[in-house]
Amino acid sequence: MTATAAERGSAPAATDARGRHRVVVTGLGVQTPAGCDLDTFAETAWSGRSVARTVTRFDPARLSSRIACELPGFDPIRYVGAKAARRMDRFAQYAVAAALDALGDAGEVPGSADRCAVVCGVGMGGHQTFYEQSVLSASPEGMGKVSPLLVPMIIPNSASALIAMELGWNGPALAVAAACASGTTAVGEAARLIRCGEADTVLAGGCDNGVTLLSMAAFCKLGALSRRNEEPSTASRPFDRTRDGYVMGEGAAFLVLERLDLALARGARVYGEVLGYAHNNDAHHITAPLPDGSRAAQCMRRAMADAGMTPADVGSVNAHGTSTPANDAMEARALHLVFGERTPPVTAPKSVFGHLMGGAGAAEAVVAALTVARGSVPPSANFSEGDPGTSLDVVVERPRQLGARPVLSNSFGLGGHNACLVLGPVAGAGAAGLSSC
Amino acid sequence: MKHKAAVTQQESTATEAEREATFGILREICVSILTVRPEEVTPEVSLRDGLGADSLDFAELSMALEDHGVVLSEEDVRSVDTVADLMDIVLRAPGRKVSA
Repeated sequence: MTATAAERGSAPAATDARGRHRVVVTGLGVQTPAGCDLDTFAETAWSGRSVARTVTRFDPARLSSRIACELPGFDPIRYVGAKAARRMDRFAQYAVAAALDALGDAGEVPGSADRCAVVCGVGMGGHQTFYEQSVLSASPEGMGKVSPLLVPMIIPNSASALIAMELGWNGPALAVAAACASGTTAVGEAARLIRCGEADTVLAGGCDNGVTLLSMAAFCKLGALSRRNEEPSTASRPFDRTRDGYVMGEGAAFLVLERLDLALARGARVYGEVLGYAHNNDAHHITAPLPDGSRAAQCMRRAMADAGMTPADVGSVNAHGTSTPANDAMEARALHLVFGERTPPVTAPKSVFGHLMGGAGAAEAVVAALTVARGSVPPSANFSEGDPGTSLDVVVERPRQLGARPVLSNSFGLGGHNACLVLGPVAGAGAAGLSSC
Repeated sequence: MKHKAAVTQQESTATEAEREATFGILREICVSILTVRPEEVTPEVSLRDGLGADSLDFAELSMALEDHGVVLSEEDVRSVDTVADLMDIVLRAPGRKVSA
C-alpha cells in the first residue's frame, strides 16, 4: 500500500521551480493488442514477446503486409449502451473503453465537472466508417444512402466528445492530431492544462483502428509495413539492422492526470509524475523524418529542460522505435546526439504490441508510467544488432531493473511531428517515493 | 390536434392487414435504429420519451422509410409522437410500398 504524503508528514511541493502546478499520473486504462486490462498489458509488455499474428479481421491476401497486432475480443457493450456503441466508429469505442478503465483505476478524482478535461490523440479517426459509407454510396444515386451517422462517426474529435458526454465533464475536450505522435502530444497538452491551472483532472490518451483493409493497403503503399508475413512474431524489430517496417496495431490507452496536491490530498495511488514535455516539427517532409535526427534531438532536449533535467538524469528511453529503416536510423542518430555514444537503456514497445498509430504514444506512456512505478525497463523484442555506427543500449531478453528513474518517451509522427515526455518518480516524495502498482 | 384529427380520418381507409404489416415493418426499423427490444415497440409508446429517439434517430428513421416509398416531411417529424402516429403517416403516404 502507498503511504499518503500526510501520513509521512512531508508533502512534496505543489508547484515546480517555475511556479506551475505539478502533475501526476493516478490512473491507467488500456485496450491494446497486449491486453485489455492493466495486469495483462504489463505482463505482455514485460515479456518481450510480440503478439503479432496473421490478420483475422479481413482477408489480407492481396496485401504485401498480412500481419498485425489485433485487439482480441473487444466488446464495447461492456462500457456503453448498444445504441451509443452503434453511433461510434471503432476507434472511438476503443477510446471510451480505455478512458473509463483509466478512471476506474484512478478512483474518485478531484475537480468539479467543469475542472475535468479530456485530451485524445487520433491519427486517422473514423476512416473505416468513411470507407464503408463511400462503398455504399458510390454512385450519384447512392448519395441518398449516406447515413446521418457518417459525420458524427468520422470526426476525429468524436472520441474526446463521447468521453466527456459519458462522464458529464464540461472542461475542455480536445482532439490532438499529430499522426503517430498524437498520443504523446495529447498527454503533454493535458499536463499543460493542469500546469497552467485550467483543469484539475484530465483524461489523456490516444486511439486508432489501423487494422482495416483500407488503412493497411495505404500503409503498404507507403512501404511502411513489414513484409515478414511468414514470421509475424519476429517482424517488428526496432533498431535491428534487418528491420523492414512496422507491424500495424490498434487500440487505445488513457492516463488520468491530476494536480499533484489534489491527488495527495485524496490519498491517490500515484504511478509517477509528468516531469517534462516538448514538441516541435521537422518542417521537412510529409512522410519521411529529417534524416539527421536534429529536430528529434532538440525535442528530447527541450523535454528534459522542461523537466529541469540533464541527459544524465534520464534512467531509460521509451523509444518511438517503429522498426522502419528510416525512423529507427533517425531516432538512433538523435539519441546519440543527445546522450553521446553511451545511451541510457532503450526499449521499443512497438516490438511487442505493434504500432497503435494515434494510440501509440499513449500506450507507450502507460509503459513509461509502469516503468517508473515498477523500477524496471521492459525488454524490446527481436533486437540482435543495430545499424553500423550506432551503439544503443537496447534492453533485450529480460527486464532491466533500474529502480524508479525518469523515463524519456519519444514519438515521431508523419508530418514531422516530434513529441517527447519525461515521466518520473515524484520528486521530493522521499526515498520510498509515492509509486505503487 | 388538428393534425391528429386528419390522421384519424385516414386511418379508416387502411385495412387491418395493412396496419399489421406496417406495424411489423416499423417495429423492425425501430429495433434496428433505436436499439430497443421488439416487445418495447407498441403502437402506444412514444418514440422520443419511450424509445429514446433523438434527431439523429429521426434522420435514420426517415431514411429507412424512404426505402419503403415513404417520405417524412419536417412537419411529420415534428408532430409525430407515438409509433401509431408514425404508422398513420405511413399509411396515408401515397407512394408507400410497405403493405404491397
